[in-house]
Amino acid sequence: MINSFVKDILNVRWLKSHTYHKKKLAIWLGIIMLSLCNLFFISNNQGLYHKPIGKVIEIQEQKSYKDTMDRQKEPIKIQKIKAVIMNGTDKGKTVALNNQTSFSQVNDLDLKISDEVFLSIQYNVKHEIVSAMITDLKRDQYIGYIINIFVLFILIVGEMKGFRSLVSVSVNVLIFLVLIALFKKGNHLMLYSVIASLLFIVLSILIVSGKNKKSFSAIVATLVGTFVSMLIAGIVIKVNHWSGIHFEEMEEFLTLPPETIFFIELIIGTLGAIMDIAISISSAIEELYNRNPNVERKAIIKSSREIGQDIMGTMANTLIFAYLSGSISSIILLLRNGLEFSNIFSLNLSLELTRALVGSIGIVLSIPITMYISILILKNRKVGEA
Amino acid sequence: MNIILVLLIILLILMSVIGGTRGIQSFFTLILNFIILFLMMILIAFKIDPIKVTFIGSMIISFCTLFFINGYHKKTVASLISVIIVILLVMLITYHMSTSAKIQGFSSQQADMVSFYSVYVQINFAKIVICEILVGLLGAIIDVSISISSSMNEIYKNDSLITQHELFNSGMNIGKDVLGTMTNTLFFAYISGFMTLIIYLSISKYSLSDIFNMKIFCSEVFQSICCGIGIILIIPITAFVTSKLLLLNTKSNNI
Repeated sequence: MINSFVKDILNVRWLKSHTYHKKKLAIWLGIIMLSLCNLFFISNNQGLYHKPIGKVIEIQEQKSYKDTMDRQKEPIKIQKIKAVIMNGTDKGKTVALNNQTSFSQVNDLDLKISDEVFLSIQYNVKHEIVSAMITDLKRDQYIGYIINIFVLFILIVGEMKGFRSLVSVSVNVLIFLVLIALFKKGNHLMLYSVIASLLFIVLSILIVSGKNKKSFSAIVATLVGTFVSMLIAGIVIKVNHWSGIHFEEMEEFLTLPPETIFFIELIIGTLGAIMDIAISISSAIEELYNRNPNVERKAIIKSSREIGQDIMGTMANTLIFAYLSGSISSIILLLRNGLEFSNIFSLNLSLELTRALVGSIGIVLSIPITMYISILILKNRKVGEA
Repeated sequence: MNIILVLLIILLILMSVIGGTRGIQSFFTLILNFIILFLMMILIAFKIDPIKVTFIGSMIISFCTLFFINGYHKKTVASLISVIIVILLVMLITYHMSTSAKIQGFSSQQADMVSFYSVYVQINFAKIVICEILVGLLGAIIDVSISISSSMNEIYKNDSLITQHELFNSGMNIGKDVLGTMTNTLFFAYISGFMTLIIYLSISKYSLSDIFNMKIFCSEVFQSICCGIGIILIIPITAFVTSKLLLLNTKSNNI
């Protein structure tokens, strides 16, 4: 089965387009070379760090148990480690390290041979190493690997459209970073975010589906849809004075007002989902007009409602799982610590649930909004051309 | 009144007005999925192996979502098969990397929050990371998979003489269209959850190299990219499985 699958892909990729064959091959070779260079660089970049990095070469483990508060036994390992320093003036020297790890590994590291760790080294007056301590694990190479796999996959499967998605993601990351840099000044947070959201919407839709009437109607629909859903969310929040929403999770990190930041996060999270709906429905309506320019308004409304019903459930599902998955670790930690459901619910899930619900409301609302806007914009075109 | 409750009621009203009976069905499937997810977490907290719970739980969630929202049909069966294949594949690809990157649990920046609780809980948090990754991408792959397989089904209905090859190709084309919008949806969803952390990091004294090795940063990036890998993988797999399944009977007739 896998064999015939590979054959299928090969057939589609290569045999169908002999003319593009050489050009394509060259592009692919270039991409593969680039990603290999990238992989080589990220696995050998220790020299760029100022902090000393050690590579684990030997581990001696001593196992024991620790009694926990709820009278359970937690397996503990004490690791005596030898590591070679990979960079700086001490390059090549071996240091001895101590490390303790538990079975749960909630906030400790279970080190393995050839893991790389950041060290903090104590010297004596003669500049000889007295002792060394592990401060953290070196993780950048794994981020590099996974990004590499992602980029390769999206180009292989999506080809040109995959490349467009990559470009749109990169542009959006840039806008996002500029927005965060502006936040540092601490004022006009809302204004900056609204401008950034406008850019997000216009650029993403233009990059993903090109410059045409369909994109134009999707942009207008997304703008209106986002505005209406944020209006609803804003009114609900204002009337109920943030009741039932706990910001402890955010306050730990923020000096800025968490309410404002959370509302901005709601806008950004919602506009992505609305964009998806707006593009799907306006493409479908354009398709209907293309097949039959004189199609009745009623028929269009009926079909696009059906499409909307098809997608809204699964889209809302997507948001709920994407948002809630991040809280699983903390919920399990709290469950194991014997906290009550109601506490866990309000402490850990209130923010994520609000995001998912506001996003879902946006999805559902944008279905009729996109429908009417697309009919208005796309129908005019047909009349004008005829 | 509690905001979440108000929002839930608004969602129910909107879904029933705009979506009719299917909207109400979708709403209750969402609630059901949430309950299944919560049950999964309780089972994991009772020390049942997180990987097994996640795998079986995601199958049940996919089953409910696909069959309750979209009904029993060849296209939903094809989607279910593809979703299960992708869950297994993503597990294979990410298991080794996520355990070596040690992105489980909490980082030193979250020490304040964790300090109230015992961190020795006899549950391996390295496995919880896999659970988070798979749950995070589950909704997205179900969505992409059903969009592709139902469009392929429509194509097949209109042209029953279509070959498996052509059907696979049109499935891939639909998939590429979905890919662009879906990456946007997920990108903005993740960025919105990410924002607090990024603001914190940009104000704090950490250098760029510190940030790229920080547990909390790496685990967020890792999870969102794994989600992206999932939605890419589901496209060819759904196109292939659906094209096989839809043409299953006609093929045997021809022979």
